[in-house]
Amino acid sequence: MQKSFLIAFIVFLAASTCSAVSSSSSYSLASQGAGCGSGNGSSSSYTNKSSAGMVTASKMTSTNYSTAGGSLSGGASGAGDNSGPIISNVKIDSKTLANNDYIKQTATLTATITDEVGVSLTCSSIEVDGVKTLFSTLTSASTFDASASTLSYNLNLSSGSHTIKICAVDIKGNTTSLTRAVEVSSGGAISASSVMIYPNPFNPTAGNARIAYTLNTAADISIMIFNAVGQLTFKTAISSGASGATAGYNEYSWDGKDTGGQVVGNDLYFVRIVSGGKVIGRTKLAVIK
Amino acid sequence: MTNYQLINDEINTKISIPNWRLVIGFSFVILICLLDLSVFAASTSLDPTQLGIGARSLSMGRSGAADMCEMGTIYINPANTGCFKDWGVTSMQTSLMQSDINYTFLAGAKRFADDGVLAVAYLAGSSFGINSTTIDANSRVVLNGSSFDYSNATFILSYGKEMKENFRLGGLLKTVNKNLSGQGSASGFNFDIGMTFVPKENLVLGLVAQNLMPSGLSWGTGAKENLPIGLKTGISFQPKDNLLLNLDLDSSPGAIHTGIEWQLNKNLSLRAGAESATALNYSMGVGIEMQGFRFDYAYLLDGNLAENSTSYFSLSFAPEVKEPEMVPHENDGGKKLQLKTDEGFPKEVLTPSIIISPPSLLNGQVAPKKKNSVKIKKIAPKKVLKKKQFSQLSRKKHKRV
Repeated sequence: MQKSFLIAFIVFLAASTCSAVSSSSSYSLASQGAGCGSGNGSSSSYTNKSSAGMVTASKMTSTNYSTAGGSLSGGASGAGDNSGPIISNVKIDSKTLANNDYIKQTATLTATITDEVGVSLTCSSIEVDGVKTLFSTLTSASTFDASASTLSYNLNLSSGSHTIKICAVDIKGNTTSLTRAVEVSSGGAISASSVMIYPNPFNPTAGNARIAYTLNTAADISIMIFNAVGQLTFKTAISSGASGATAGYNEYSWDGKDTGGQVVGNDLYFVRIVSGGKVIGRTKLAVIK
Repeated sequence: MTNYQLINDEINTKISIPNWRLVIGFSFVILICLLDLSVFAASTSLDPTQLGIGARSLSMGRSGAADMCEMGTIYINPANTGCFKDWGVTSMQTSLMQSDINYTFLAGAKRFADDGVLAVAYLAGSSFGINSTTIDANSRVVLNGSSFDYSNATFILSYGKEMKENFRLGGLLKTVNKNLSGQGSASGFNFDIGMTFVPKENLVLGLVAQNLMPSGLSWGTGAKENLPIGLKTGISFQPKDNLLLNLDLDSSPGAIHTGIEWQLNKNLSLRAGAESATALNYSMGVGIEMQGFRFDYAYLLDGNLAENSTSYFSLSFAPEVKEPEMVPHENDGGKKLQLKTDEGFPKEVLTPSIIISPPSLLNGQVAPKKKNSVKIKKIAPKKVLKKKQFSQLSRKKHKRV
């Protein structure tokens, strides 16, 4: 009786390694595959709570992990490995994916997943809106290249909010998961949210300013900069799909020069993201040399 | 009363020659100053007066370098200061860039005993909530939770005087302060000089040199910046008593300003204009005047970005100045005409240059060529006065304050 209970407990523990880190997970033990969760049972999750960069992380056990540049690591401990795989370089169409990003309806998600003892293809999975696909069952269009430790997954999403979760399990059953909420534009008005400039104040003699904004969809845009009395100081146009005009997070690097090539004076400036003749995003920039 | 037009070549020549010399000489000085200062041209900082001040001028394409007797245009040409009759005050309010920055303008002018006019003006702009940022773990730009504010303030002291009957000169001293709270601030001063010249009774020319002092602004960071050196020229033409046309050429920023004002009656004026800078910006407006009070409204369509189009409101007051009239000369048995104002008979009008020959010469006869003889014919009295008393008498636009 005790032996049966112990076996049942171990099975239960293995089944819950991924689902335990996210309440939205819905896959079952049956789909986990044979041998999943047979390792040290460590698990960690990593979720950006907002695009503003507030990060929270939790782990089921006392494993060491680190996060940098969007990667998540369960640590490395050699033969006594008790940490999950490292998930890093998570990108959509070659752009780093952050939580609440806008993405296109059809896009390719890529990620690097590494582990010193190996990633289990039969246990690791990618889950979109609760529908899980094991790495071992990925089609030719979506693959996990074990030699390159690279996941490539083609997304085809409807308009609205979606959740993407990568659950990586090593052959010892240590698990790491990463969840991203994404948004696909419903095709309405074009908007640029979270328009920000770094640094602010900006010193043109010390480098360029990074004008950042999030577009809800790829679109032809212009970036216009006006001075404190409303005179146009700088303008540039970016075609839809080009760098700086894609769905999601974008940046434009401004050297602090006006349209005549002169470094602008110290003052306040107004930055406008314009599409179709309408302002879709705006912010203020101070220049101090 | 019989009215006369004075046509006296001898007298006209006496008036014009000295003034042309003044005009040419003054223009030469301005150009030399600008050429010298171009050597120092370095990093420039915005001159807040480029905002354009006064809804009347703004509705006319931001024009007014030539004799627009409008308190808001003293910053365009300080010589305009010299045209105010008595005293007046004005104010303007506007919000630019979809209300991202607000501006307020206040000004007052007073004519003194030496016929010079002193004007004081204050222009202030402010903008709040400029967000500071940082870089997050994903190398993305994110807010860091702090922000700062911006303000600028320009204090103007302007003096203008009519040096000759058709030549006005003016100077303007301005102090400029800019402040980015907690980030840096700057202060400095500069000056403009300008003139207006009247070659014909309905034509005025203006010339202005702006920001003639190098290194106008010193920042707390140690940076020194010039306010932009500029040259403005303007023409004001009045083909009819109720119609005014303006054209200004502006070197900094390079722009052409043009405007038209149509005075429907003594209380109501309609205006329109355009300026060609980085785009063609159209403007329109209306002025309502009553018992010394005047309300002006201007709307500027931004050619670069329609959503930046802006409304401007001005409210002004100046006591009405009664125009002088022509009356028979008391010491001449009523045979000669002279000017009469509320203060009586000004001494200068008793000089030979404005004394008109007696009615006995009215029948188209040409008087013998001697010093005070003139050829006369009937005309409206106001035109006589405009020709000979440019400053003392006013065209409609000269009433503006």
